[in-house]
Amino acid sequence: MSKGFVLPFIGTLLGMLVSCGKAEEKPIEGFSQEIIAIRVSDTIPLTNPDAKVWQEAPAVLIELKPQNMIPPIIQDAVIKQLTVRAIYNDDYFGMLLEWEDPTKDDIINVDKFTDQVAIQFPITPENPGSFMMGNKGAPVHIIHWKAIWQRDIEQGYLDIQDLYPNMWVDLYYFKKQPIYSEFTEEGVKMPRVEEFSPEQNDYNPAIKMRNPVSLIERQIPVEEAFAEGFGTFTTQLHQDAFAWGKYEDGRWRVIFVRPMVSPDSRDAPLPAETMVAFAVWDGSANQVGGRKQYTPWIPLKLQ
Amino acid sequence: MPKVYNWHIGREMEYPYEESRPEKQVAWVFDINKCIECQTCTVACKTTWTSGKGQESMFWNNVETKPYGGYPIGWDLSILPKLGEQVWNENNVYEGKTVFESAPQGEKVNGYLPSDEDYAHFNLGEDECTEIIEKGAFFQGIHKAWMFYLARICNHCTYPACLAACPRKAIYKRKEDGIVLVDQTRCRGYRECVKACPYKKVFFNMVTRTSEKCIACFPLIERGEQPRCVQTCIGKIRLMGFLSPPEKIRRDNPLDFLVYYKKVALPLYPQFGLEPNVYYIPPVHVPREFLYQMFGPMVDEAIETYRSASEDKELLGALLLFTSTQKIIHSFRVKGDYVYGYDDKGNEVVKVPFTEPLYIRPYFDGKRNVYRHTVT
Repeated sequence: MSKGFVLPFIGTLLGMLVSCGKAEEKPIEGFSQEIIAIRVSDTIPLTNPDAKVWQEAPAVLIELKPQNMIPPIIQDAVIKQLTVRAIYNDDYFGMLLEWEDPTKDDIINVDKFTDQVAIQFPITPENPGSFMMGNKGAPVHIIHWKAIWQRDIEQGYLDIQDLYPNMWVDLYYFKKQPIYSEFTEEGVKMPRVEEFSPEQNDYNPAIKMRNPVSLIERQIPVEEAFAEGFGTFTTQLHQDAFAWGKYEDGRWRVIFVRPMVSPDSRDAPLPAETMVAFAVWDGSANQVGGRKQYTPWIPLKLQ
Repeated sequence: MPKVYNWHIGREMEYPYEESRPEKQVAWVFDINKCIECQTCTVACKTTWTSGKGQESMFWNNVETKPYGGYPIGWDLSILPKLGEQVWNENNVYEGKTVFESAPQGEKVNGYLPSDEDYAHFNLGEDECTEIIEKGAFFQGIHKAWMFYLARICNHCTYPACLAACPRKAIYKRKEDGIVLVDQTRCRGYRECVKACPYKKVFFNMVTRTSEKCIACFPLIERGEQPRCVQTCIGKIRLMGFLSPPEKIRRDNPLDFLVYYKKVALPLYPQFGLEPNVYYIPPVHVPREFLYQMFGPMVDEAIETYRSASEDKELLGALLLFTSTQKIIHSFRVKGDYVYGYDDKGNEVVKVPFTEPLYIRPYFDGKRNVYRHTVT
């Protein structure tokens, strides 16, 4: 049995024991057991991970564990650690997350998955509940960034002709205004789904129904959600957070920013001492949904 | 994991949820012997439901040529070896493992996710038969090689693997008619259902980024009509109706009659363990070993019954109802040389003669002063 398998297993076991109050989890060398957020006077940078202000906060290394408890699972963590920096000022709280990932996965197809990262805060810090998306009576606030969403904003909504540049379809739809592919001097022009009228989107039910994963006019690459247990992930009506990622040299750096105080009752408060948890997905490893690397609750102190 | 009873495999099996049968179960009987693979069903479905963006290579209904064809490519060849040995005992009880029972640790269903290329050639293997036919060969009473057409839609299973695998509970089975649907507002495109369905009848839409599947044309069913693929069937191979719950089966319900009483139509790959609700009358000319694998151990009896239909007026009558009307037939009766179909209120919706009436007209039409091309 490899060491890589044993360690997460023991970690899980210890985690369960801690929750029963019978044993203390011993810190693994090199990994931090808490995150200190530093107060800064500058503004929090929204998109620049190289901004100097990030250097004011200590870089904290967090261990990621494979979600191997509740089906569907992953057996081993392909991303094993996450570097976290946290800063805040009067108005906003920011986090810079960094991890190594040799492939940038920012498209989706039947067999292609996107890179993602999410942070989670307890809505009731005095009773944070389960670190696995909370539980009934102890809900959580999740801020979720996906590489595909950022690509949608930077390059336009990922459409079928982006995945298959040489494709051709005679016409879409059989209503009053059918949509045809056209021959132009530059070549074949395929219609883009962004150009469709609401009536033409009758044939794209999830777009028509405004499913949060099918937003063709997406403005921000992040989604704020509420959850109180597995399978309860629910997009919030008010989206108050922002995130932006940068992929360079086999490394993702993603900035998360949220207001210090939010009028939204489904946003977690940020007292001087609370908790935070993370989840990271690697698209190349077909990770999606519950198939992810996670951390348990980690104390977060605002200094 | 709860235990549920699956009558296709003659025993209880593991399933993530408790047994919960609908009030009536939408079901189909397809007579494979009559299918000519004209793909009219495929086109009817495609133009009705999947002409949108992201659905270009999505066919809720497809007809493939067996043994080599398959859409997505090799769907059954990919899942069958995963189940291990598939043995039935002398009482027709399945002793192997279902896709639920053989699931690896940490998975609810034993499945696989096809690649995008697997969906790119919807009719690969079309019309290919098992052997090369030598030049000069002709039919001498026994076919030297074989193939057959397998029309496939979602089976609206009693124990759907897609529903079992969805971590968000975005898939549901309607209590009133057993139709299995993906909630397009709740689905987050994890593709656990695409991976889990052994029939590969849940599809990923790469534009909406959600999973989509056959909806059994529920807007038609809700107004008492059969789905598009049934209404348009050129070969009249299809009959859609409702199976009654096991304790309430009726002989005059054509679906109950064909499936429960006559046992002439069989489920596709019952060993998967899903209790699928599309029942097939097996092709009579195909080697039995192949059919046992595909339709289970009741194949011999089903073919024998089918072959004796000419002596069984009630059975022949039920078979004549296939694609005979747009309306859903809830009950049927044979009277004289006709079979009658009735809707849920007992109103007659169709009357089919056992023998087509034959009228022969003279070659010359004196009224129009022309000769007729056809006189029958």
